[in-house]
Amino acid sequence: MHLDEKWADILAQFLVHSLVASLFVEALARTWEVRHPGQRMALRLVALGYPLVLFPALLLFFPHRLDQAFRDQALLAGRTWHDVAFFGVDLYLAFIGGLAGLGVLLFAADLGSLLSALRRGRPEAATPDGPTAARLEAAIAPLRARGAAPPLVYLDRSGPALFCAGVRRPVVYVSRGALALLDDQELAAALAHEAAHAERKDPERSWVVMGLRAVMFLNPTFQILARTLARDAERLADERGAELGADRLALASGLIKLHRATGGGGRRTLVFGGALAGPLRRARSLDVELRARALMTPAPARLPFGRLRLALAGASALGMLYFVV
Amino acid sequence: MSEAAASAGERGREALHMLVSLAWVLAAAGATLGLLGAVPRWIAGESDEVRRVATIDEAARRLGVPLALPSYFPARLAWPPAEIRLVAAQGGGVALRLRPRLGPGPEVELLQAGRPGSPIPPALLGEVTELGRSRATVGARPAVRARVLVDGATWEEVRWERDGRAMVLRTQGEVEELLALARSTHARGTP
Repeated sequence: MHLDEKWADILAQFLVHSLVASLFVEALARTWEVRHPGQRMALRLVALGYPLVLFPALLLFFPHRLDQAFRDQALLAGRTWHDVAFFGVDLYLAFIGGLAGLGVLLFAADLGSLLSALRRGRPEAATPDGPTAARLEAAIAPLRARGAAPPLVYLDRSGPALFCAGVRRPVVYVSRGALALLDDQELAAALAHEAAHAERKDPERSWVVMGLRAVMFLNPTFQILARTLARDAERLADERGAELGADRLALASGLIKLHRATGGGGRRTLVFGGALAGPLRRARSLDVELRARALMTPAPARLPFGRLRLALAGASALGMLYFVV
Repeated sequence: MSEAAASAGERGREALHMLVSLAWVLAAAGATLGLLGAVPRWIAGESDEVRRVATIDEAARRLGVPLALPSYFPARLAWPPAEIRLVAAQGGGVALRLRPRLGPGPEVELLQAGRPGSPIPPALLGEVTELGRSRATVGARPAVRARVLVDGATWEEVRWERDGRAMVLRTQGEVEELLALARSTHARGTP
């Protein structure tokens, strides 16, 4: 086998394995009816870890999988798709090129957002006036009583902003606009949600994930999974916020108000951003709707055998994909 | 029934559900992957298009037979073949183009049918005009030696059958080299 063929095969396997592993894990999550966001996230982390850990291990410990003899016996040999042409285009190469291109596009889109946020710099802290400080203090008091209160920074901005940021020392930022928008109960619930992000050090985790996304920039499945995990982190923070004392309905209501006031959020970072803006806004709205619906029902229960499920998911995906070359 | 026994029963049912669901998803995923692996053969297996493949092994795998290759191999020619063309339909066939190791020089082409009794696909043979022919032998087998015009270029050609499979060897160089190559052609292997 020529070296370039070998690398093309490895790239194709890398892309196909990631896709199959993630679909397999999603199918398991649905058939197992995994509803707890922490458990869903853990299962998706198995899929996210597949191209990072399990796939390299497969190549390292089973190099004979690249041999022709093994390929002839494989469940799916990607290279057989070389034989199929569509309007003169080799479907195998089109598939690899298409997936890799999509991976680059997805990574570039989020890198653009990140760079634009970095350019804007750290928001400037302001000192709240007396009544505002008292209101903030009252909203955070339940968290302080539980020892879960994050540092608060007040922003003197009319735009509604309420978020957690800071890698080493997570801080919750609250703007004047957000205070004007939310009532006291919604504000306390939203702060509990952000406190959950701070407690889990989500800003730091998101940087680690972004670093891994840069390594996996050709892998669209990895890029999509990373985005899905960010959404899972929001749902997990909703649940943890509720555990920290947030009223579920107030949190749902605050979430919808903030979403509506920011118009679905998101800045255009690509030249074709205009074309994507509509679908992205609808996707964000749908996500907020699903989160609000989840908050209107009782907290989801964790399924038993959580670790066993993760081990079974990882081992089954690996066992099946061993025969996909 | 005690609460502990009910809880154990519940856990047992949950464990069974977990394993049955896993088996179901695994079977469905395996079947889908197997189907995706079989589709190209259904679609392209009978294609009469000429395809380029990367290796001798891949050509042999696609035809489903070992290729006949010369064991005598002049030092001037490069191995592996510079180009491997393949037709899969109706027995199929393969053409191996051998180019000089260094710089320009006479090329050699070995064409063979995929199955005994099947002709070499015309798409591999090209537009052939015979300029002259004579009888010859390759080992003990009867053969035809011919001078042919293929797509505008003149070649010396020898045609014979090996284990019932049609073989054609062409050169733009010396006939002695061509006959030596033909005589040494055997079932499988690399020179």
